[in-house]
Amino acid sequence: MNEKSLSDIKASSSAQIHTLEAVITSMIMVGIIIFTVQATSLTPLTSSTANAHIEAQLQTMGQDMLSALAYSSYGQDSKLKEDVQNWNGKEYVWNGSAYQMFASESTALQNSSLADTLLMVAVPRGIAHNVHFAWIDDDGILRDRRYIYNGEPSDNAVIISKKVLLSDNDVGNLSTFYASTRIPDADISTDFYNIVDVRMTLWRM
Amino acid sequence: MINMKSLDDSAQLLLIAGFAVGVGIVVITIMLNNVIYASNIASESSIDTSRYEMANVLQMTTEAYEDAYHYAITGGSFDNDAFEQYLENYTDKASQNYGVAGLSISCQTDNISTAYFTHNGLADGENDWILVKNVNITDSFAFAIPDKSLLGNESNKVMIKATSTSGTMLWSMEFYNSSGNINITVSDQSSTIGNYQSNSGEINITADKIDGTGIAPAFRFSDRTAGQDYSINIINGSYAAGTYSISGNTSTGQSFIQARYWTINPIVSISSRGITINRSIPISLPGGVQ
Repeated sequence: MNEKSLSDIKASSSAQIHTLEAVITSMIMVGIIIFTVQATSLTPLTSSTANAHIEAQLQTMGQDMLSALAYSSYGQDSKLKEDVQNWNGKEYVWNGSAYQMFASESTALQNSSLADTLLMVAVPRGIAHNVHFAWIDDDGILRDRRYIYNGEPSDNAVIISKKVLLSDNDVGNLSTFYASTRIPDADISTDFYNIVDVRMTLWRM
Repeated sequence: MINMKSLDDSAQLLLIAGFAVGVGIVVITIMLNNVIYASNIASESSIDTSRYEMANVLQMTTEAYEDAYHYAITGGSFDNDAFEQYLENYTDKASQNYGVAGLSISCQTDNISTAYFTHNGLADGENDWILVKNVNITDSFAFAIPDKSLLGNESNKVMIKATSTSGTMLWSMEFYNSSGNINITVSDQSSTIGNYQSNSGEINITADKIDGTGIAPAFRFSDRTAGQDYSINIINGSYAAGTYSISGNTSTGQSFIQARYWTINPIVSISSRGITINRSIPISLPGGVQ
């Protein structure tokens, strides 16, 4: 074995060591990335790729609920419009078995198709929900009041809205309706009353 | 010198390995990012917000026209100024509501015109359609064809028929233009009940009257449909133009009242950044009567 051959063997072993070193370095780097990702606390409400799907699902579910309630046949008022008409301006909260008035625990929400639908669809699936009635005031500012309120929604909540047209004959006694709901008559010169935006907020608990 | 050269080679190898690992991480990160992006886009594509919003606008606008019509006839005759003022106020408020959501809507109104007996009331509307379904009792049902020049002749008869949910024809009325008069034939599922003629084109089916006068034999609509769950269909509707009104109860116990004296075909536009949807809405007036 001559001197050149010995030198080749030494160079070859150095290359192997360098390759091994590179592989180990990359494994360490990948390990650090995995550790970093795993170390981040993941809760059901953490933003992630899965949340986009959940939001899409909630959005579709909410749209379906409001579309079903907004259906009206043969000149009848839709269930959604009836809920706005019947609203007494009070705020209701889900107590685990019924929607009760926030200010009076003994008073339950009656004759509400929205509440019935939420009870049938959202409650069994553990979907938290709020419902607000919103309108544009005379200054062009969006105002809203709580109809059903169950707390602050998470960052991944979705809002679905459906607008409802109200005419004077839908409302009945204009001053009584305004006194209880604070939804104003947007036009006193004609029978047009206002447009109410029913805004439903859904999120996973 | 040989040792120094060997160390240089090692350093180059280390650098190359480092670059390779770095490039690999960048590639993996980009690929992962693309997967997340594509996944989110795919999930968001399942939400058809524009269609949902448009459906809401159409429904609300239809109700606005119906309510505007009710308001315009409050004084007894149709007040076009009141009609337009109501719609202007509605459009302003609707624009404000959608403006908050970053959408702009506009409504290009139309003149009211004679309604055809088609589904949407327009001359090119659906010919064969269901006027009302799942009917239990029809309390009143009348129609009028004031302009007989728009009525089809014998080869283009218009038919109103009541059909049970099982598909059996219970009662039918066929009519057509015969030299300026309206020839009417009423039948049940087995035989002809009677042949009639109308001059002014006013037919009240449930009250058994033609042109305001009682007829014999009676149309027997209530007899033939009693105890049935049925639908009322119109066939060849584009060959007649005029008005109708109907009321009764569905088999679920819900009452219904609807009428069509006129039709109107406004165009609603809804725009977001980069997308504009234009949609004409044929609306029957007064439509649903409450």
